[in-house]
Amino acid sequence: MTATEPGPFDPPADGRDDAFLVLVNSAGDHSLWPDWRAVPQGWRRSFGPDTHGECLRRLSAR
Amino acid sequence: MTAAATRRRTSPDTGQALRLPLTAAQSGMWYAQALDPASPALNTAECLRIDGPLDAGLFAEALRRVTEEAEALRVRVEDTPQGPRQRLLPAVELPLSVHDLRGDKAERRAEAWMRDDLARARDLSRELPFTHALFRVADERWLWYQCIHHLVMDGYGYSLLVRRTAEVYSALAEGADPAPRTFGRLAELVARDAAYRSSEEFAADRAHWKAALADRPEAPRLAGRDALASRTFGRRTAYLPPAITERLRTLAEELRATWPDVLVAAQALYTARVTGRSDVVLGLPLMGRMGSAALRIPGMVMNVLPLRLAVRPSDTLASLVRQVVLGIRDVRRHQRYRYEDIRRDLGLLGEGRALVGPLVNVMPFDYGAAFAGVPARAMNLSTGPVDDLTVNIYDRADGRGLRIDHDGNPALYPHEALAAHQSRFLRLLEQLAGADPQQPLGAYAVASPAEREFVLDECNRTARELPHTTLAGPFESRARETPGATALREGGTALSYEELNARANRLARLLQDEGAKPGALVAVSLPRSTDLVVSLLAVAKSGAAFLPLDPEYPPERLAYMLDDAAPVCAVADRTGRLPEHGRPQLLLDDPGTRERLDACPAVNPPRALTPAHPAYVLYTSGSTGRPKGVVVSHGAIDNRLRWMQDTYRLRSDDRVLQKTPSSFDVSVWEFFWPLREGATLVVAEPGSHRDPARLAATVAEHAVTTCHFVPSMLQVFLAEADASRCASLRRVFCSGEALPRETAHTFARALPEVELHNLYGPTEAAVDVTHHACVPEETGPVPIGAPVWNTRLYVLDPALQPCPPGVTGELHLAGAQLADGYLHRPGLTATRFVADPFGPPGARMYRTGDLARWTVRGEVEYLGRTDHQVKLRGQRLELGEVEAALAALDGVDGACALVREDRPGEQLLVGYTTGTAEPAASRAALARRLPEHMVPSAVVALDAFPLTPNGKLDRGALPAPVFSGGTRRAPEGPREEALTALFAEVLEVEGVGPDDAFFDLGGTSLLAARLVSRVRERLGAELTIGSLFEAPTPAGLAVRTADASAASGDALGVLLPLRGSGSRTPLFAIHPAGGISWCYAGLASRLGPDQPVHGLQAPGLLDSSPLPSSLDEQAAAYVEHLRSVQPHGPYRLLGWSVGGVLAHTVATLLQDEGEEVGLLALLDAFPAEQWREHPAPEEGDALTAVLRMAGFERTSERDHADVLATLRRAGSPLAGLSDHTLARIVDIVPHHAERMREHRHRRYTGDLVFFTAAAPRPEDWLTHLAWRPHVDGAIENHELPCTHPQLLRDEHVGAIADVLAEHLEVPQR
Amino acid sequence: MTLTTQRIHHDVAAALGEDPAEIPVDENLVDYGLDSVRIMTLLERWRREHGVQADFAGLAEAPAVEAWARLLGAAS
Repeated sequence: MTATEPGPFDPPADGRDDAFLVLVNSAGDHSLWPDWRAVPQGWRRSFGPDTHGECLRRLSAR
Repeated sequence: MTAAATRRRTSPDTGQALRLPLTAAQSGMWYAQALDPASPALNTAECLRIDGPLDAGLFAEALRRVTEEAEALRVRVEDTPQGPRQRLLPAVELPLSVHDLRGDKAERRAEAWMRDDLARARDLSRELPFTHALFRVADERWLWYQCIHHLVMDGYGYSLLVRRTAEVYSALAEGADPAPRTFGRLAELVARDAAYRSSEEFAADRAHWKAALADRPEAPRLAGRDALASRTFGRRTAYLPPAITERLRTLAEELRATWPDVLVAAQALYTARVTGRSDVVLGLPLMGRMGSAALRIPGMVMNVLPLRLAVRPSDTLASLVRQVVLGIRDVRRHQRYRYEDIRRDLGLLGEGRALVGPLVNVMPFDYGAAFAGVPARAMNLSTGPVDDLTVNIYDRADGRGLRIDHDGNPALYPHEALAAHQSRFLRLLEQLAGADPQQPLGAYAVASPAEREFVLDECNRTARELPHTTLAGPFESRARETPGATALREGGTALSYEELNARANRLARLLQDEGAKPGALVAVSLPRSTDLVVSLLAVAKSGAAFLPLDPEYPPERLAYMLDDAAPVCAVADRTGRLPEHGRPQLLLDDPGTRERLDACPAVNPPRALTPAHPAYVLYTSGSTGRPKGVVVSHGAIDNRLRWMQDTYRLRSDDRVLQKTPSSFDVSVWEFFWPLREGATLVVAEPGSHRDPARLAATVAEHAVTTCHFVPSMLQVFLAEADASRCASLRRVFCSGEALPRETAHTFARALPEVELHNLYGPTEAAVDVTHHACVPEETGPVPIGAPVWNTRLYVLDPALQPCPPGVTGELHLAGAQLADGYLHRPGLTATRFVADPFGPPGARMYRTGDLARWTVRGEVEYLGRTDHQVKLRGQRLELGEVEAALAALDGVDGACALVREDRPGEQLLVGYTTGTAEPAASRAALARRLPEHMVPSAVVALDAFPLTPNGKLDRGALPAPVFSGGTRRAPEGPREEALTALFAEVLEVEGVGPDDAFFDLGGTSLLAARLVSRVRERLGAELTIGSLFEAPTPAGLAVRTADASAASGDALGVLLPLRGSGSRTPLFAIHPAGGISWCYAGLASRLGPDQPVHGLQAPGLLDSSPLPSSLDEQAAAYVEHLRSVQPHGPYRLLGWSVGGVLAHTVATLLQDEGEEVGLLALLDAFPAEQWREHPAPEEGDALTAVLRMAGFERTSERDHADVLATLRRAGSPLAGLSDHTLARIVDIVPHHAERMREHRHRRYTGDLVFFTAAAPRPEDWLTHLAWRPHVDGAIENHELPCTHPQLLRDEHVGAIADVLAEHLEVPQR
Repeated sequence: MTLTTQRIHHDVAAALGEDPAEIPVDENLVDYGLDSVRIMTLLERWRREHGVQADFAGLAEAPAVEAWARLLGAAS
C-alpha cells in the first residue's frame, strides 16, 4: 500500500506465506484475490489458495 | 457565601532544605515545561465526587497530614548551573480552598472553577506544584479537586494519595489515630533512578530499544500529520456498555489475555486501517513500579514505551492479541529506559520526529476509597500533555462498564474528528467482542454503516442509460446532419464535415483492404495535422482500433511497440517514420497512396462494429521495464464522450484545440468530441503545445473556445503568454497532474470569464473518471471531484474495506469506463483489474495506486502515489522502467531513479548508477531508447547507494545533482556572451559554456519560458520556446537572434508596451533625449509581473512625420496615447532626462482635464530654466545622447558607425537600429534640446519623486530644487551614486525600482 | 470461605494462561507476564470472594505466589 509495505495484491514481505486465490467470473475475466477477503458476488474460486507466485503463473499462462 | 481562599503563595522558606537532582522521569517533564513555560499542558487533575456527609475541617486536616507524608508534593523546582534541582520544603501551607456553592447550577460553577485552575500554568520555581479545592455542591455532595503538576506525580501516585487521604480522614472521623505512615521518601526515588542509570540493566535496556527500532519506523498519525505540542486538549468521553465490557473480558480470557490487551489490539487494528500501514507503533504508558519500593512512594515514575505491532488483514484477532501479550511482556522487561532517551538514541529528537502513534493508557488502579464509609468516585480531568491522541481507559468497577476518553491535540483533531474516531473505535470493539477471534481481521471494517452507505452508494449514484454507440457512428451522423459545417481548421485551411468524412471514408476502405476490422489494430504515426485526424477517424470507421505511435519516440521503442501490439497495418506520412515491422504501411505523402485513395468510395464503409470492440490501444510506462498497451473499448470511451457533452455542452460554434500528443489519452476527446457535436476542431502546429506564446497566438487566431492543459504547462502559459489574447476561451480542462490551488487562483485572475475544470483518470479508465469545476474563492487542495456517468469510485484501506470520509486509502475505479485490460498481458491484467466487492455480481475494479480520500461533500481529493509511478509534466512514467533501462546499459551495476524537487515548483527526473558507466554517456544512451519525458535530466554516478539501517535503499539520502557546464570554449562575440550569461542566470548554474545545451543543464519548460522572456527583455531579441528546443545552446541561439531584427516595427511606435499585462494601474515611462524608451525594460522587469509598464516614444522614429513644434504639443499627443490605454486616472508617470520634463508637462495637462495624477517620478530631469543659458547640441551631442540612452558615456566614437559599433559590442538592442532610425534620432536629440529651452513650465499639483544622479558632474548647478516653483507639493529626492547615463543600468535600476515599488504598492521581484 | 495457597496458585496460573505446574511458587510472576491489570483483577476477585484486606501495592511489592500466600494470610 505504501512504497515500503506490500498491499493486498502484492507478494507478501519476506518470510510470510500469505495465500492468494485466482477468481473467475461468468464473462471469463480472471482476478487475483487475497485469501482473507470474502469472494465478491458473481466471482468464484478457480485456483488456490496458493502462493502469490503460483497464482501469477496460472494467470499469465492463458 | 464566599469561598474562604486559603490558597496563597507560600513565603520563601528560610529553613534548611534538602536539594535533590531530578529523576530522569522528572527531567523529561522539566524540559517539556521549559519549552513553553506558559503552557498548562503538564497540569494533571482529578475530581472525586463524595456523595454523603463530609467534615470539611477534618478533610483539610487529613490533606495536611498526607501532604506532609508525601515529600514529592513539597518541592520547589529550580534551574541551576548544574541543571534543574528540586528543593524539598520541610513544611508548606496547604493550598486548599473550600467553596460552598450550594444553590443554582452548583456543579456547573464548580466545573468552571476547576477548568480555570487547570488552565493556569504553574511556575514550579515559585509555586507549589499542586492545588486542592473542595466544593460543597449540595448538603451531602462534595467535589474534591486535585491538580498536580506531572513533574511531581503520576497516575499511580494519585491513587496512593487518594487512598491514604481517605484512610486518614476515616480514622480522624472515628476519633482514632490513623494507621502509621507508609510512604517512602523522595530521596529514595532519586537514588533508585541514579542506581538504574549506572547499572548494567540500563545498558542492556538501551541496546534493546536501539535494536528494536533501528529502522526508525514512522509514527502512525490518525490525523495524517504532526503538530506542535498543544497547550490544551480536546476530550470525548464514552462508556462501553457493561454487556460488551463483559464479553471483552470473556474473550480476553479465552485468548489467555486481559481486557487491556484486547483494547490495545483493537487500537492497533484501528490505527493500521486509518493510516493504511501494517507496521504500527503505539505508545504504552506504564507505571514502572512493579516489585519495587516505588509502589509506596507517590511521585513521578511512569514512562511511555513503544509497542510495535504488525497488523495485517490476513492475521486473526487471536494472533494479534497474542502479539500484543508477548509484545507487552517484552516491553515490560525494558520499561525503565526513558522514552526521551529512546528518541535521542534514535536521532529523532534533532529531527523533531515522533516515536509513537496513539497512546493507549489503561488505568486499573486501586481506587476503592471511602471517606468514613462514604464512597468516593474519581473522574479524571487531565492525564497530562497530548501530542497527538491518547486513549485513556478506566475500569473503576462501578458498574458503568469501561470509561473511554479520547484526548486529542486540537490542532489535529477538531471536535467532530475526535468524535468520529471514538465512535468508530467503540463500534470496532463491539464487532470484535461478538465475533469469532479466528476469522481474518480483513473482515472488519472501520467505517460506520452510515459512512459506508455514504461513500459506497450515495457518492456513486451515477447510473445512466445510454444508447450503444461507437467512435464512428456519431461522427457519421453529424456529417449527415451538417455536411457544410466546418469540422477542421489547420492554419489557413478548413475542411467541412462532408469533406472530412469523405477523406476518412476513403482511407478506411484502404485500411479494410489491408485487414482492418473490428478486433484488429492499426498503428498510426503522424505529426499533428489534418492527416492525423483523418487517419484516426478512418481507423475507427474501418472498425479497427487505433494505436497512436508518437513520431518523436526513439525507433527502438517504436519497434518494441509494433512488435508487441502486432497491428495488421500502419499509417504514416513518409518512409522512415516507422521502423520496418513486416506489416503493410500506408504512407499518406506517397503519390501512389493518394491514387489508391482517390479510387476508393467516399461513403461510410460497412463494418460489424459493436461497443464491446476495442476503440484504441495506448501504451503506458511499465514498472518492470517494458511499456504495456491499454485496450479501451468503444463503449467505455463513448460513455466518457456522452458524459462530457452533457456536462459541458459543446455548441456548433465551439472550437476545440487539438494540441495534446496522440499518445496521451486526453487527445482522444480532443479528436472525437467536437466532431460528434458539430463543433470545429482546430489543429495546432506540431510542437506548439510547448510554447505558450504560440499557443496564445493560435487561440487568438482561431477563436478557440475549449482546450486542455496539463497543470504545469498551464502555469507556464499563465506566466508567459498574454492571457488577454485568449478572450475567446469558454472552458479549460486540466488533467494529468495534481492541479495546485495557486494555479487555479492565477487562472481566475488572468481569465475570470473562463471555466476551469479539473479532471482525473488513468489511461486504464477511458481518459477521465472524475470531474470538478473550480470555484475561484475556494482554498485548499483542488479536488479531483465526483465520478462521471456509470462510474464508481472506492477509497479502500489495506483490507479492501471502504474508508470513511477524511481517511486516506487507495483509489479504486469501477464501471463502464474500465479498459478491457493490458494487451497480451493476462497476468498483469488480472492483478490490476480485480474483482469488485461492492458492485454488481461479476463486476471488476481497477487499482489505481493513487492515494485519495472522500470529502464530506462527496468529492475525492488526490493525495499522492502508493508506489514509484510518477507524473512529470503530466506524463506518466514508472521509475522502474527508467531504472530497468539504466541497469541494462553497459558498465552499470545498479540503478535507481527518482523525481526531485530541489527548487520549489521545478521537478527533475534524476537517475543514479553505480559501476563504471560514465553518466553523460548513460544519459545519451537512454535518449536513444526512451521517449523524451522519460530521459533523466541528469544521471549521477555513485560509488554505492546509500542504505537505511535495514539495508534498503535510502531514497531520501540520494544527492541532488549538480549541474555545471561541460565545454571549455569561451563565448565569442557580445551576443554569445550575453546569452551564455543569461543561461547561467536563469539556470542558476556555474561554468556555463556557449555550447552547453539548455536541457542538459537542468532546464525545464518553465525555465525555458523564463529564458525566452529574459532574452526578449535584455537583448530585445524575439525568441520562441520552439527555437530553444531547436537550438538549445547559447551559440546556437546567438546565430538565430542575430538574424532577427531587434528593432521590429512595433518597438518604435509611440506606445511601447514594455509589459502589457498585469492588474495594477499602468506606469507610463517617457523617453529620454533620443526618443526611445527601451531603456526602461530593466525597470519594468523589476517591478514584477503584475505591473504594466508602457513606454512613450517620440513620434516619427519610423517614418518622416514632422516633429512637434513644442513640448506642449508633444505632451498633448502623449496624453492621447496614454488615455487610449488608460481612459481615466489616477495616472502614474515617469521620465528620464527630457522625458522627465515631458512627464511633468503631461501631468499638468491631465490635471487640466480634471484627471488625477497618482505618481510623478523624474529621473535626473531638470526644468527648462536650468538649460536656457547653454548652447544647443550639435550632432556630436546627438550621438552622445544615443550612447547615453544605452548607458554609455561617449569616449572615442566619432560618427554613426562608431556608435553603432560600440552598441553592437555591448549587445545592446539599440545596435539593431536601422540607419533611418538612427538618423531620425540624430534629428530628434537637438529638437528636444531646443524645444526644452523654449518651454514654459506650468504648475503641477501634487508630490514629486525625484532621483538624482549624484556623482560629480560638470553641470554642477543642476538640482532637484529647481522644480520647486513648478510643483505644488512635496519633493522627495533620492540620490544614486552614479552618473546621468548610468541611472538605468542594472546596478542602479534596482534601487529605483525599490522606491517606485513603494509608491506603486507593488511587491518587489 | 478462606483463601488457600492452592487457590492463589491456581488463580494466578489461570490469569497468566499457564498450567500451575509451570509456575513455581517462589518465582517473580512479572517474568511470566504478571502486570498491574492482572493483579487488580485477582485482588478484586479475592476481595469479593474471600474478603481479603490487602491493597495493590502490597501484592505488587513482592509478586510471587508464596509471598502472596503469606501476605493474604492464606491457609495452606
